[in-house]
Amino acid sequence: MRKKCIIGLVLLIINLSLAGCWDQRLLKNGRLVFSSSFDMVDEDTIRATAIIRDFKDQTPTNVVVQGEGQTIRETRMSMDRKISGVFEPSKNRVFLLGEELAKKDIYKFLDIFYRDPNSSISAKLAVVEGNGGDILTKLSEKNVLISEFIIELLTSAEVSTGIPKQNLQTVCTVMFDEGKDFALPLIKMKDGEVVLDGTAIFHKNSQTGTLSFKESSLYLLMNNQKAKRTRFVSKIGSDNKMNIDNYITYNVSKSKSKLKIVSDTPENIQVKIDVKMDISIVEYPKDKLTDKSELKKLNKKISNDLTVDAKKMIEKIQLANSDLFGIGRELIAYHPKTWEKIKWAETYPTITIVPTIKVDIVGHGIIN
Amino acid sequence: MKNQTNLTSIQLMLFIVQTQIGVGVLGLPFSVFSISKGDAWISVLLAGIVVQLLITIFWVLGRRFPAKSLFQYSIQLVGKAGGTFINVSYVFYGVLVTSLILMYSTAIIKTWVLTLTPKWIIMLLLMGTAVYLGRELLSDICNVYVVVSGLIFFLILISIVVLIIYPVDWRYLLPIGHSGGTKILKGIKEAYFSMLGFELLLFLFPYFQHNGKRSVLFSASMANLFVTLLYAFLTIVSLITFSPEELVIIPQPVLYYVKSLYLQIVERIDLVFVSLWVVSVITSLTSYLFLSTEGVAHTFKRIKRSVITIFFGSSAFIIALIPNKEAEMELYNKWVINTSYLFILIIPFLLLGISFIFKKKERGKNV
Repeated sequence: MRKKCIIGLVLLIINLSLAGCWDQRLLKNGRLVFSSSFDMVDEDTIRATAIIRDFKDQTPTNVVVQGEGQTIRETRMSMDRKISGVFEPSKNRVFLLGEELAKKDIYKFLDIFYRDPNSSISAKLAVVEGNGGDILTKLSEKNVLISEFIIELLTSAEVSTGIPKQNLQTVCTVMFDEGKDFALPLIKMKDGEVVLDGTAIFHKNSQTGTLSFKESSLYLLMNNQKAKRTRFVSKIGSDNKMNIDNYITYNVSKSKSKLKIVSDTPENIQVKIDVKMDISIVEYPKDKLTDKSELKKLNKKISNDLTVDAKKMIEKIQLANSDLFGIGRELIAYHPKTWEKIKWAETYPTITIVPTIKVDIVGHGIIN
Repeated sequence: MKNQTNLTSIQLMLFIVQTQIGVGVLGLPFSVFSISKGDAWISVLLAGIVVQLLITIFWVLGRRFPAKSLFQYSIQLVGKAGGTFINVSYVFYGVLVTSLILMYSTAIIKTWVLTLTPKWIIMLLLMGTAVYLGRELLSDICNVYVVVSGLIFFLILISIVVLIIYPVDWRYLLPIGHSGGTKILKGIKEAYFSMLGFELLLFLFPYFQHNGKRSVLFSASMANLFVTLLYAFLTIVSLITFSPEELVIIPQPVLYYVKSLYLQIVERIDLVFVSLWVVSVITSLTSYLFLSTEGVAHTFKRIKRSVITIFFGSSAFIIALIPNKEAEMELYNKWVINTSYLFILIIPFLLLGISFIFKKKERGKNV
């Protein structure tokens, strides 16, 4: 009996000590940040804009806070002083980077997120043409669920193979990879609306160019990153009376791309990218899609059209010195001797990349 | 040693597995990578072969004295004074490794999960659990190990999920053998620290010999095979999820790739992972405490087992509290690893040599 009493007493005392914890972060004290953006104000100062979720009469509202500083942490500290409660960025789902900042070394600004165990490194990342803060403030005027809006904007584009699937962590891996570069979604303001406008492409850690929506889809297909849906429009003629008759719209149902290094002599590196895809027509007002010879012609026309587009796109990425296809990594892995002899940043824009795209029409919807 | 005859070979296997898998598992890919680069996985596999050789030697030694552990036959082989000295040093070795594990695991928990919690609280909680378990008899410890071994499969499962979800690049492993033979061989040394734990075979032999001598070797080898393959798997996953330059700055790659997962409901899976991993740390602590306790319990039969365990547990706790900076921890780590060669290579070899030369051995019958 006495023993039981002692045990009971000990348990009671232990119970008191269990209530406290050093590392608790209570939701009621925190001000949750859902999306934030970083811009350069001038050469040295960073401005951070954060959207904080609040509840008024049980409906969610947004509060915009801004802070300036020399480092990201400093902007956070300055924002923390402006709000009641603790600035809590660990639920941040979206980061927007201003154009000026993206043209510098972006790793320098993201380091804090990789270093802090509480930050969510699966958050999405996007580059903004102009200022990121403007987009967030503009969106908050309309009082929609801002972060949800941006995330959905990005994920729907990911599903339709418009932009690559990237988050903070996957970008970090490529940033440190000497034989690969990456692309991030590009958002801009157009007539007072926020739209997704293709991708920003990077050389090492700085933005050096952009790709349009179509070009980035094409790049993703050529890099074997086809998502659920991919849709293209090709021009197949110019002599029809109605302009709409000159175009054909199709879905890519299957696509396989092969990257091959044809020549690995350091002075003359040649790369071939062969893409084979099955497409099904979704819009073609001229009809008559059962005729074999007509189909053959169409196949050829579409293939040519896409190949020309691919060539233009490759020119663009080589001009930006952005090794999106990871050709450098391919060289490191399979041609290490060549890799040792070259300076990739200087060689890459001069190498020859030849794309060939072959399409095969396999479907045409429920009419012929 | 009553009622300990029902120990099975599976228990021996899991005992060694649980001792080997511990604090090192999270950082192993990083530390091996920092030496042998993209061929780190080869180093891990080679380290497994080295460990297998050592296990075989321990087994040959143990087979000559099937009913006795190293603590008993050391006296028989090198005399009372020398034997006692060896035994005392093994006891110290157990305490040193215990505090090393405690130090490193606390550091990881502190940087990843409980940043504000004082160091000594975390250590106390870990040590308390280990002492609570370590003072029991071997059969009880084994039973607990068997139960918690299920958790290892969760660790593997989470890593497989990473392989599927994360955009991995197999080309990071190529070209194979690029870092050269010497670097790969040097990498073995780095992998070795995480493999420590198999030396417990020297002390476990008499408890398991009734299953047949061959089955002891078999279970120890299976344990080694499992751990080596697991480590090689984790190393490969780390190598292909992170690019080489990136891996240089990530000291706990296994945790980091788990952190980068995002499943709709759970935001930070690394916390779940750490909670599972803590169990493996505690089992390693327990095993080494058991080693020290065994050493003393044999000599001083009158002292209660729990008193000895509590004594060694608290001394390891105090030693672990001393180093403050990372550099001091590394110094201690280096020092313990260097002394471990004495206990894993030199002494067993010496004893085996003496036993062969003077033809000292015993048969298993006179238990």
